[in-house]
Order: sequence, then structure tokens, then C-alpha cells
Amino acid sequence: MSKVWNVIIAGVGGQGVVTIARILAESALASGYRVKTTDIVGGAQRGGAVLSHVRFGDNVYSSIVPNGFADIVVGIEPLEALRSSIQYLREDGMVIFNEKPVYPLTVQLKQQRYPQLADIRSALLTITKNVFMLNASELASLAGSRLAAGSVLLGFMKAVSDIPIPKHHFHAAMEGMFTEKVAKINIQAFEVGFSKGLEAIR
Amino acid sequence: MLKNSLLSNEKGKRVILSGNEAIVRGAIEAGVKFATSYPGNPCTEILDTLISVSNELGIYTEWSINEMVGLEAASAASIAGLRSLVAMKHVGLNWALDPLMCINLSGIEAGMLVVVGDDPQSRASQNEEDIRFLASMSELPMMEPSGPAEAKDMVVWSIEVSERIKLPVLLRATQRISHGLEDVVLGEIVQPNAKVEFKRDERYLVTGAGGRSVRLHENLHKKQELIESIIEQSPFNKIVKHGEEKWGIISAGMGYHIAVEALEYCNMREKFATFKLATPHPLPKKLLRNFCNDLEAVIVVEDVEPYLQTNIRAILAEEGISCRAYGRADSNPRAVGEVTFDEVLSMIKRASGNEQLFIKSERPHVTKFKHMLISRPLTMCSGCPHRATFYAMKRAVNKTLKDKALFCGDIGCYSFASQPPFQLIDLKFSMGASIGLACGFAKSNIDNKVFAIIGDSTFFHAGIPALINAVYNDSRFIVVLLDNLVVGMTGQQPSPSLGLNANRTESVSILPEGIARAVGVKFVKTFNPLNLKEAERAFEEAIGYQGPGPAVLVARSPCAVYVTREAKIKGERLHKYAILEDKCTGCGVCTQHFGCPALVTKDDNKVWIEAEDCTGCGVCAQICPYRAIVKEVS
Ligand SMILES: Cc1ncc(C[n+]2csc(CCOP(=O)(O)OP(=O)(O)O)c2C)c(N)n1
Repeated sequence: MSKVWNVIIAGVGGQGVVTIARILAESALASGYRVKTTDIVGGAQRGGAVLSHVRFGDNVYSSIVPNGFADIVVGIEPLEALRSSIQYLREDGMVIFNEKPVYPLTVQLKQQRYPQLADIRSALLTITKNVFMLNASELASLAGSRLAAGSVLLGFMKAVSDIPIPKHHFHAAMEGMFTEKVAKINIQAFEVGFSKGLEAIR
Repeated sequence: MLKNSLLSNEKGKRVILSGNEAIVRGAIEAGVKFATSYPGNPCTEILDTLISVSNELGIYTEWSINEMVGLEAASAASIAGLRSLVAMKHVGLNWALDPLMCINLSGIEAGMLVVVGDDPQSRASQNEEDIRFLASMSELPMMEPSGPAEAKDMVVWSIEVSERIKLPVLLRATQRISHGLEDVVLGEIVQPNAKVEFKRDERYLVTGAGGRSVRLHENLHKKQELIESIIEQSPFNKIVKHGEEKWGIISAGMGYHIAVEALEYCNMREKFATFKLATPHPLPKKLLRNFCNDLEAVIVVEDVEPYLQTNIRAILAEEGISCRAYGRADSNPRAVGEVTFDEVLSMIKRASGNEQLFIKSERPHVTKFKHMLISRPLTMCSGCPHRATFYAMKRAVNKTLKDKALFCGDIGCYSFASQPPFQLIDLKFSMGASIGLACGFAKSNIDNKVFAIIGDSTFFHAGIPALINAVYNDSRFIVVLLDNLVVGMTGQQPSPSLGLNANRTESVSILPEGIARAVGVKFVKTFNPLNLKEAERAFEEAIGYQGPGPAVLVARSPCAVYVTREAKIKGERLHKYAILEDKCTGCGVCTQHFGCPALVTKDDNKVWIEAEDCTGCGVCAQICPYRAIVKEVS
């Protein structure tokens, strides 16, 4: 069986997880692959965790990435990056995540404690050595909107992994899915992430 | 991009579609002209998407008041000669079951598809159930796709079959199918030449003297032979068998792909014959018989209940076939939820006696870091008017009733008030149950003041008969009706109080307080929850009301997500609020007792307002004891 790529996009409602998954799916299709995705959207916009599985290759069976099979976890939020990596990431896989937390309401109410970023990072390092943490929200704001954090991470992923999708297909997918103005911001964000990625592996 | 794909005439083109979008494309290809729905996960996006192209295609689309009415309207359109579709979530079919159990007797005319979104694992529903049982109860064919691409083709095929057998066809799409993307090959768009007319026929007079409905039931039974032969030949049931296999796997929906992948994973593909079963009702008996005949055992892979397994066992017993059928019925207590890769692996292990199979999730860090994974409960959004209502309600209750209050909740965004900081919901059942429960508690002479807490859409869907019950039987309690003008929970579809239809054309705005007065409620009061003083006073008055009948409070303020989106469309700026650093003492009243997500506690305990989240409702400014929150001057 030829390789199936398994990517998990994780975050919380309102961060555009499902949109990022769709960009990846469209880019994979344009690169000649068959694609399947599945979303778990408990409650978008209401602080719930959102998770998308994206699988592409010459032949994909189920849309659900089995536990421990993910090649890459893209976390738009640190805790969600950890949650999905623990369940899905394979031992030598790669996790790329945004260091800007979105605190659950219970943390605000002091009923739960949000783990330290350093602890999240070291927990991830026990699964794989390929752990990349960046301030994607800030980079996205610089590109025009903090909502483009996911696109920053996609660009970073393109630079640091061997994901077999050419850059221009990501751009084209964004142009197809967004209005001109929003597409421009996201492509810019993708490029910022891409350069950061190149820096990180230099 | 999506709109182009839905409208495209390029037959053979490969595009990315979600299951819901693929169902829409299928309906377009089949020439559906009439579509209804009531929103509900996982299939809300079917009508949402269809609305976006309804003008171009001349398709009538409607958000119906509930699933029962939606089903009735769609069957009328079909009886009149228009191909129709109705979409609902699994519990919606519980509501629509009553008319369905007559429409299966009368039959219809033009092709009609009932799409039922099922939610194994109950990710966004009040419960988990298995809707396949309602197909066998209503004796209607049910199809189950294993992915978006197949869903699209199945819609076209099912609508044609429906027209041939003159019965609605059910399509079960689980959340994994509806909310998944796949590359889909576009087909041709047909335009059946529909003549709209009503052809009078005795079969439409289902209820009648002389046992007509029983005769119609007999006719339905007679039709089963035709249905079974169509199902046996459906292009969607797929068998892979070489003849040497000892074992087999039978599965439907996403479970089929999980099963095949699990076989590949443990190099057992050649050892197991596979059967993708796309027709949960009626089951293709002949195919099943031939498949199982020379096998030692089959594994039946399915979500939720062992519906297929028990039916297959019965078929095998009837035919005297010795093949065993393993599945969920074998465990005690029976498994629940979605089937997983690991569950399939252990079933393969069991059937093949191969104890070497390694199950990946048995990994050390799964348990090692679990403690760090704090939960993320759903909450009301920033600026949500419901939060203001509950803040005022809690103050009024604490002042007058203390813990002598009982809160019957309902389904909608306001149900999140069961959590801190409010904890003002004690029961949550199904749509409209709040008022019915309140009627019962109040009449049981319970020593608590009883509240029914319900949203506008839920009230229109299921609450009105219960309110009439309360007036008619003089049940004394307080109805808190949170009217945010939309169906917030499912993505801000318009509700009758908004005064806009599905495709945003003007309609009559129907107000719940008008209905309350019309049915004889004596205490009716409307207030704006964003004005906390006004809101608290309204609650105090309602608590003081002694009867007769219930008191109805209507808290009206539009959904914050809706407000933000409308402002964006119109290019308007919302006036935000900000903290005066020097005045904030870090007392925590706004964050601990109100809990709007836009209010963030900093390391020094002072509060910060996340400007991008603030919708400018201004409620936190009314709460702050130090007047440290002010409207930003722009
Ligand atoms: C029978 C049935 N149909 C649909 C749903 C899906 N659903 C959950 S809550 C809800 C309505 C919410 O609207 P509303 O009562 O106005 O409250 P809001 O979310 O706007 O606060 C719907 C349609 C359901 N749970 N049950």
C-alpha cells in the first residue's frame, strides 16, 4: 500500500480548524491525491475543542486517523496540540503548535489549572523529538489578522516537513476559498510561517 | 469555490465536498425542487448550503418549525409532483415518526428523500440512539453511505427508487459522513419535467372507517418484495471474496473503511472476505446468505447497537447456515458509541485466534500525561445575552428564593447555564421538555419555585402545546423565554421572531409573548437582558406572581454571534469596552460571577478585555463595583 499521509489539525472553536483542514484537503486534491477528512466540532464558537483529521494518498480507507498513526499534528492551541498528540501522534511524528493558549472558562474561574507551556513541550518531547513551538497568533496579527494563525502553522509545516504538496497549491486553495482580501492575509501568513520554518531547521 | 462546485455542469469533474454538501449536490443532480429542514447536528449544513444556491436553481427551501411539519410539507410537495428532500437529525425523526407512519401507508408521487443525520457518540446531541430501528418500524428502505462521494450517488439513486416504489426513502448519514470531506465526482444535473397537481386517490385517506389503514398496511407488505429485489441489486452493496477465505467482515458506513484498514494493518486482507453493506433496511438476504454460506465466522462492525448483527443472525438461523456472526451483541453490557480501529482489531484477533496483534493505543504516554489534559466545557460566547439573563436571574433568586428553586432546562445555548458560574439548570431532556416538566413539578406541589428555561426556537418547535397545558390546567411556575431571534446552537439560522425567512426574505415576526397572551397567560413581561436592573426587576416581579397559571418572562436581545456577523456584513463597527487599569482592583466579580470569555485575568489579578472578542454588550460595565469598565471612545 502506498503511503497515506495523516495530519491532525487541533484547536478550539473560532480558530478556523475546519477551514485549515479544508485548505489542506483542497491542496492535496490539486496535487493529485485522494482525500478524506473528518471533523469533531463539539461546539464551535463556544470554547469547545475542535479536531480535524486529514488523510491523503493514492488510496485512503477510513477518514479517521487511528490512534498513534498521525504523521503531523498541527495545534492552533497548545493544550489541544498536546491532547491530540497523546492520542494520535506516531512515535517519530512531528508536532507544530501555536504557543498562545485559549483558557477554558474553568481556568478563569480557578477551578482547573492550565498546564505550563514548558510542561506541554516536555510531554510532547517524550513522544517525538520533532516538536516545534511558535507564536503563530502574533505572526498572524503581523500578517493582518490573528485569525490567520492556522495559515502560519501550515506554512511552517510546509517548510519543516516533507509533505508532498507544492506551495502554490496551498495558495490556490486559499484564493479559491476566501475573498480576495482574506486570501491575501492568509497567503501572507502562510509565507511568514514558511520563512520561520526554514529558519527553524537551518 | 463551493458554490461553483454545486452549480457546475462539468460532469466527471473531481471536487472536494463534505458529506452534507455532497448530499446537496446529489439533490441538485436529481432535480429536487422542494427542501425543508429543522436545524440539528450533524445535518444542519444541508439546508444552509442548499439555501445558498436555491435562487439560481429555483428550489424552494424552508426552515420548518419542527421536523414533523418539515416532513409533512416535503411529502405534500412530493404528492403534488415535485421531487423533495427533508433533512433532520436523529431525534428529529422521533418527532416526525408520527406522520411518517402514515406516509408509508399512503405513499407519495415524485421522488422523496428523508435524510437523517445520526450521531453515534452523541458529539452534539442530547442523546445517542440508533435510527436504523425506525427504518424497520416504518418498513421504508434505508440507505447508508460510507463517505461523501457515495452519499452523493446514493441520493440520486434513492430519489429515483423512491419515485418508482412511490414511497419515501430514508438516508442515514452519521456525523463521520456528514462532517467529513472527500473528493467527489460530479454527475449530470437532470431536470425532471414536473407537473404540479393533486391526483385524488383513496390511498391518501389513510385514516378511515372499515380498516382502510390496515388494507394500506397490507399493501405496504406486498410492496416489500419489489423493494427487496431493488435492494438486492443496488450498486452500493459491495462484496470482495475470492473463495478461500474462512472469515468475513460485514460493515456499513465509516465502519466498513475502518474494518478494511484494520485488515490491511494486520496483513489479514486475504484471509477475510468483506461485505460493504449499504442498505440497513431491508437487508439484502440473498447476498448475505451467499456471502456467509461457506464462511466459518463473520465479524459485524457497526456503531451503537448490534442492529445488523442480530438481524444477520436471524437470517443465518432461518437459512440453516452454520456461520457465526460476532459483534457488539456478544459483550455484556453491550458496547456503546462509535466503533473504533482498536475495537475492530480486537474483533479480528478474536475471530482469527491471532493473539499477536498489537494495539497501538496501548501506549505509555496515553496514561502518563492524562492529568494535564484539563477539560474544555462549552460555554456561552462572548457578549451572549443569555449570560446577562442568568446573571440577573441568579441575583433575583438568591435574594428571594435562595435554594428553594427548581430549574427545568431545555435544548439550546442557554443549557450551558448548568455549569459554573450560574448552575441554574437542574434537568435537561429533549426539545420543549422544560415546560412539560415544570407543569408536572408544579402540580406535584413541590416545595420549590419551579422555572422552565427555554429558547425561542425551542418554544416554537415544541413548547407551545406545553404552555397551553400549563394555562389550561392552572400550573403555576415561571417560564423564562430567552429570545435571541435565531437558532444560536446550530449556527444562527433565523427563528420566527426574527422576521426573516430561510433566504432572508421579509416575513412576519412572530413574538412568543404574543402567543403567551393569546393562550391566556396572565403575567407576561418582556425585558432587555442587557439592562441588568430592568432584568432583575422583571425576575423579582415574576417570582412574586401567585397565579392563576404560569408567568412568562421574555428576555429579548439578539444572539451576539449574529450581531457581530451582521455588523461585519454591513461594515459597521461595534463599540467595544475597555478596563481603566488604575480603577480595576482585581476583585474578580466580573470574571468569577459573570464569566464572559472576553474578560481575561492577568497575572496581577487585574482584568483585561480581549478587544477582538468584545461585542460591546456593556453588561460587564454594569457589574463592575469600581466602575472600572468603560465604553471605548473611537
Ligand atoms: C428534535 C430536535 N431537533 C433539533 C435539535 C437540535 N437543536 C439543539 S438546540 C436547538 C434550538 C436552539 O435554539 P433556541 O431554543 O432558540 O436557543 P439558542 O440556541 O438560540 O439559545 C436545536 C434546533 C434537537 N436537539 N432536537
